[in-house]
Amino acid sequence: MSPFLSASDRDILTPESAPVPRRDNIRSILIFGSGPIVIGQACEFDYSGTQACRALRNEGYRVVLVNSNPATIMTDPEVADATYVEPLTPEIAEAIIGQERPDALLPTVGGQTGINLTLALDEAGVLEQWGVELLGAGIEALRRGEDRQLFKEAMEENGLEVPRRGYASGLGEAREIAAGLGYPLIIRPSFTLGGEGGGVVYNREELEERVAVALDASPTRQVLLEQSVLGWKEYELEVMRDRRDNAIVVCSVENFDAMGVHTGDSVTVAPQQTLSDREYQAMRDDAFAVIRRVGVATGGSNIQFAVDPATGRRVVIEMNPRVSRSSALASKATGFPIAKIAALLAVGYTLDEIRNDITGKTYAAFEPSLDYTVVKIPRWAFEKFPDTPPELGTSMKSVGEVMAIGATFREALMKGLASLELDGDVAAREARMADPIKLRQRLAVPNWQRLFALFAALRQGWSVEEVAAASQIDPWFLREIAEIVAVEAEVGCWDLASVPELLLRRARRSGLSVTRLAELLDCPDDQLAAELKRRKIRPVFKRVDTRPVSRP
Amino acid sequence: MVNCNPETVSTDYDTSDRLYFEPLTLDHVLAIAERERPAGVIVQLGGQTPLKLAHGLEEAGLEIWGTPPDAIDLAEDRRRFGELLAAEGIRQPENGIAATEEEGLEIARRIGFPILVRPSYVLGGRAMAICYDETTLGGYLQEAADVAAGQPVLLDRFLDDAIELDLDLLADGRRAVVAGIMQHIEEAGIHSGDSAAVLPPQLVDPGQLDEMRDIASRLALRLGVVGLMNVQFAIHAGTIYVLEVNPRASRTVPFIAKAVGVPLVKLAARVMAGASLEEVGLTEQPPVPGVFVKAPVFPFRRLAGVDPVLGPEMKSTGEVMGAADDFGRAFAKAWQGAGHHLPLAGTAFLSVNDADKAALVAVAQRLADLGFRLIATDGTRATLIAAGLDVEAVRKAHQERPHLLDHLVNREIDLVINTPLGQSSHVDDALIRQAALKYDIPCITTLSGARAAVAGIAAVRRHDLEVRSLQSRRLPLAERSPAKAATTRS
Repeated sequence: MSPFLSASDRDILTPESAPVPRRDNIRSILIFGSGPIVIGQACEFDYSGTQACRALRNEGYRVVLVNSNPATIMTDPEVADATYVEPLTPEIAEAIIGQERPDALLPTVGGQTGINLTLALDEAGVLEQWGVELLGAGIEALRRGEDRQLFKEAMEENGLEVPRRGYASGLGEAREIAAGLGYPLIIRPSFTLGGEGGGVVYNREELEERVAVALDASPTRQVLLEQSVLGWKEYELEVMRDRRDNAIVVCSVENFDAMGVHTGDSVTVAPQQTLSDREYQAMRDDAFAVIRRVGVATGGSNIQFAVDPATGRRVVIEMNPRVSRSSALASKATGFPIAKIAALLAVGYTLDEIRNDITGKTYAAFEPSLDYTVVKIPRWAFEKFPDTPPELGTSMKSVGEVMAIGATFREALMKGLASLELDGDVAAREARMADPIKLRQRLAVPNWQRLFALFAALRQGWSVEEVAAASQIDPWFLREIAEIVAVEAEVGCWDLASVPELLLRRARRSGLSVTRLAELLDCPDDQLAAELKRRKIRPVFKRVDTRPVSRP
Repeated sequence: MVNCNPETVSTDYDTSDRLYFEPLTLDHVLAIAERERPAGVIVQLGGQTPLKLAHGLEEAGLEIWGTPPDAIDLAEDRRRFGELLAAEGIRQPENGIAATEEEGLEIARRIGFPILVRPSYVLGGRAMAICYDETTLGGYLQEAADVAAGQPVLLDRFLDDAIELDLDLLADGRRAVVAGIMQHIEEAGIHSGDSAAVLPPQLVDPGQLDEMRDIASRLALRLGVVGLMNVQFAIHAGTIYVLEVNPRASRTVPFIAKAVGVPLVKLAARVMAGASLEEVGLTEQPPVPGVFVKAPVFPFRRLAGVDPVLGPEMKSTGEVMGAADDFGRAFAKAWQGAGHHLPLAGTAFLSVNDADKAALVAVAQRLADLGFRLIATDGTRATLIAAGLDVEAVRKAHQERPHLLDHLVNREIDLVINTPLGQSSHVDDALIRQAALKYDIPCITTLSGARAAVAGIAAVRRHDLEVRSLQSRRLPLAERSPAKAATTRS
């Protein structure tokens, strides 16, 4: 039997009688928010921080919050007992600790900003001086999550593969490491947000340029050079673990764009769509091994994997020992409030003791399962910055995101596109991408309008295989888009009076909006809406209820 | 609750009874409404996005709670709004609406340059610009036709050197109460979302603040506002102008709510549900317990090749608040919160446009008093030397080396004050700003920003660090005596 039991493998039917395990030796808890909205950290950390504050306050702890961003719910004075809208610098944090004397610090809900500030306070000896205990993840776990060399060693001890990599603090070292790894290479500066200053390099010249930039971007003047797994499929697992070593996967997320595009800039889909159950179970086991080995005592972690589409070989890319951008998405997609549960686990509860708010019956130890598809699409602001190149890479550029839920991937994708509020509709965007001469380039080099180029190529008669070869996007996703394109073409052959009902239903299931259908049928929106009503073709709304269909 | 953004608290499951992750488009929202049959719809708390749906929702038979859609239209419709202001005797910058390039140029000749142009129904100041002559205006008008085809273009006389202010109020249809007035630190012409701002206003005549309160309240009642409303004002040569009215919760509402300690949105929701201002307990402007500075945060560092200069199009992604008992310290905190460091000593490089030269003298003097070494390029240096300051020369970026850029790269400069030329930004200037950005050297592009930064530096050097929680800063609403509130009104 695997030593990494999922709680759902255990008997979880006796929580009512269990003693309350809450930590009573701490009274007040300090929480850091993530500061202003920047590229790489948006309001997802307001969401997670707010949940953590509310959950801990509900348990009777005194919550002291620091966040410099007033445009947040968490800085609403009702959310914490003491709210400091102050800069998130070590000096200010120290002054607040001296004034408030918190017993503990929950460092994992304020994004990278919260982690960096915690590490700085630890280095300055402030946490020790004032006797502030870290909840959730200890300093060692935080460092192992951040330091990819330590992480690699930890992974290899467990027989998990990670991309070959090395740290450089200067150009000379970087050249040496690069010679050992070969090109292309991924450059990742340490301790930056959303991969800032990083990128892919294909030759020595680019290496020298990029490393210089990356060294400047890193507060520790250190960069990681990593063997590239460009073009591999990318996955993320949101994992929770409690003090009794119960662990569950809250949600699996698959990136539509292959490795090489920052997750924050990738269209993502939950649950994962293209792995076999066996492959997925093996990944799940690996994820439990990772969270355990890194030593996140309690709470959530986000673990990223890359899978070679040709061989199925799997490597661990990184883990964030904290609530992340993806946790917000996973929470919303599954109805499992990761930050809230993480806060409760940090003060001593276990997964089988926390009731699910939505069902009111089950416990947090149940792995959510989804009978619908969730799609996230990033929103960029490139139109405001015409001087910056529109390409996407390992440094995140998006400023926000939309999420859509559908019965199918197609429906969720089309709803997501409708949610983006772009100037001009999807068809107009696509038309701008359609130039056949530039199309191959637009598919091959990830850019913010590539999604529209995919539509354009498939509409121009490219086969799914050709598009997959050019874009390295899994053919499963492309077949779905091809189906949307096919339905649109078919609908375009009819008018409102004659269009077959089955086709209309198929079109609605593929996510075509009333406006788009009306355009294809060449009739006014309201006439089509009335016709849909008459034929009882109603939109389907999917309920997010976390309930598992089956137990593993 | 209908929203498609998974990052928000509004899409948390325990925020609403029923949550829909759906696109905010009319057909999706109507489909939800058909299923849920709501008693009312609130559109004024979601920015510009839901406002655009208000008419369609009303036509479909749904009841819009709060300010009626026609009032929203009236405030957005330049022509109708202009007539309303004229009837009330309220001034706004001279303006016009153009459907064609010819019309646009004709209006420009009538009202005079510089001119602020933008398409109607804008989001975050998209495609907005200040034009100083007919050539740039003509080019703009052609481009605008591409971005927002079929939408007319709005032209306003741009008020140079004006002070801009944001006022937010809450109204119940019978009475309006101002929640707060924020003064922009940057001059007019910088998008309000990108300008640093301070609450309460500094050095604005109390009589003028009263006049703004009066104008805003009259407009709210005249428009039939029920809920929140935001008014942007400019004071130009002693005269108050209304720049814009937004009959909805604006970007400044969370900031003001946190600063004055009044849950404005909660009160607004109750008012929209039918309560009066008296019933929700807001009958006079809440006092401001300290000085609160807002600083915007920009994505320039992440976007290669971008000139980090501010203008009428919004570029910031977020904001921070700095709170203290005086302006200098509040500004310094906001500046630090936004991720910059504030140099307390070292070398300051100064290079400003002709219009700013006279006013730079006082700023330079202050820096010199604080012990900064001053360096400047020829034009700026001549002005400062004439004013009796000790300023070293530095070569411009296109002159022989070592020049300014070399000093920036070597981090021999700790503070850059560089204001762009009025008309178009000089290549040299753009290089300076980009280098400062790259090497993380504080770079200030407006003179008022420079003034504020110098006040911040002075304050930090004078005082110890002081931190206070919002809870300790404010008094509960009930404990405020009316007399005290009156004396501390902003």
